[in-house]
Amino acid sequence: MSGGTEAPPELPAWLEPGNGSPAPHGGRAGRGSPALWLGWRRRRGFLWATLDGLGRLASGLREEPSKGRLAGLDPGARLLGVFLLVLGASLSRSWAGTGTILVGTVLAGTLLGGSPARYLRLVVVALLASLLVAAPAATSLVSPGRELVGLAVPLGPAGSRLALTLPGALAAARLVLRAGASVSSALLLRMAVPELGRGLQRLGVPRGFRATLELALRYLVLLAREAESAYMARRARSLGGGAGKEARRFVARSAATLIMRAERLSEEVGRAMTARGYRGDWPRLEGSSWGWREGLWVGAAACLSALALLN
Amino acid sequence: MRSGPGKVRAGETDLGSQGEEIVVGLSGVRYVYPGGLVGVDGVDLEVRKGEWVALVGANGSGKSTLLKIMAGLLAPEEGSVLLFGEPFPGGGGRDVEARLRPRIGLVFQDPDVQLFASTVLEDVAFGPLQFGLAREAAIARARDALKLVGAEGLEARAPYQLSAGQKKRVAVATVLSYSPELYLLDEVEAALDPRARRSLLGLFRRLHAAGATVVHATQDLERAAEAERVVVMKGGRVLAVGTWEKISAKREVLEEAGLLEG
Repeated sequence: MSGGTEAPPELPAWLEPGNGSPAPHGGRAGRGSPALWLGWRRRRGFLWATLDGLGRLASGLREEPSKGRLAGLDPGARLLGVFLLVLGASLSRSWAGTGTILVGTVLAGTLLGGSPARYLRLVVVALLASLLVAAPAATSLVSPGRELVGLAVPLGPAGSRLALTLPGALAAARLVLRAGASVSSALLLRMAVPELGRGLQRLGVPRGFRATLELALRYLVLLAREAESAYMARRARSLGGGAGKEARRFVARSAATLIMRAERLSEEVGRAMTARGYRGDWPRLEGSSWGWREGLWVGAAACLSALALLN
Repeated sequence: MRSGPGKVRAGETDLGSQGEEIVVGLSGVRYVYPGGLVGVDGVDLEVRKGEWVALVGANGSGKSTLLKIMAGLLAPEEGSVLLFGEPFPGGGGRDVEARLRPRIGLVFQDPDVQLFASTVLEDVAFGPLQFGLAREAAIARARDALKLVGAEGLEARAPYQLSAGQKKRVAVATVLSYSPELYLLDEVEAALDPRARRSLLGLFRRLHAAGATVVHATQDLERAAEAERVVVMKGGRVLAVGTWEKISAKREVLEEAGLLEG
């Protein structure tokens, strides 16, 4: 090895400034003018939006634990209450049961979350959106039956009118309530994620399972960021091509790279844990703190779920 | 047994020091990664207690692999590894591991690898808890270690929320918190601003003055010049070992290692 004594290679002519850029006017075939390209950037594109969304979701999953009125509760109790409410929401069949669980989950969400207004806003938006979707089902056009309110809209040649019917209104109400309860439950679950590890520990879930789950959540963020960075790096070196077939090909190619990176990362993390003495146990910093407040919270959640199931 | 800021003493583990002279002894060590990439090849090296050794070499020269072997994390295919006088990883099983792990602290090059817990405090307290410290003592140590690296106030943050420099400092704290005798630093100064770099390296110099052994993998020759012994690596092999005065006199060695501009 001569090491450093060789003369540096000459620059090829195409590398001289202004002498051979493959796309001097900023537009490769297919994407048209620079203005169009910039427009694409503003629109971001499906792939970019998806990766960005995944990154945000993964980051959101590891936000700081609850800051709401129930923040002082034992994480195990909080998780158990949320689990009972979500179970009730999933299993209730009647509209009264679903309504009960909707009230319960909204109440729990506003007490658990750091921002009750945001929580309520999301649930209300879900309710309104599902109302729009369910509205036709409440009419005689979709659900014939006993009329509740007649609407001044002629229906068909026989002179019949469009009307709000009882079976239709009940079906629509069930759909709206179920949508609200689902969204509310999903938000509750989302709130429980940052403390999932601690909560599961208090509930006596085996440590191997907990550690795997915690690490998966921790490194999901990192991998989501890696995917985002890879896409950003690609964008920085390309013109257009951020959508369609080429983007799908990019996703397929980078999925393989990402899996390999994930494997390497998992090996390294395993070594880092071993280096600091990990042998299967992961002790926590806090002890258990179940008291009357925890009992009250879990009891209330259990009662609401039972009511929802019995209705 | 609690170390306040500025009072960290090397070897202050619950298991105590056994006072061996040779901390790391490598003989004919060869490690090949799955896929056939040679990590290190035929390395003979001894690190004595209380010594500061710099491993220098370009990217891919085998510095990180050698540190992982010294930490007992990679088992060589050929050759022998003695850590504090004991073969490692060897047939001694968990007892040997339990004796040796608390005495070795490896700061990984990539802090994202090192920080795996939900919060900074939990991460820094992980080592002391694993090595048997009571919860309160582990928390106190973690807080002290964070203060030492200038990362106080980050306790409740999730590691992914930190900047690159903060991550690096917290990664150092995760090792300081259990006060090992042997510090293996893998480019610990990378991603740090000059002030933080000075402060962290100053901290390790204090630990070294207190008796800690330091092996510092770096590409920065200025940092290497501060070491008592310099090991120059290239392609997984050791090109030269000696004091900085001797190594710097052999310019061709540093050039061959890709550490000097031609």
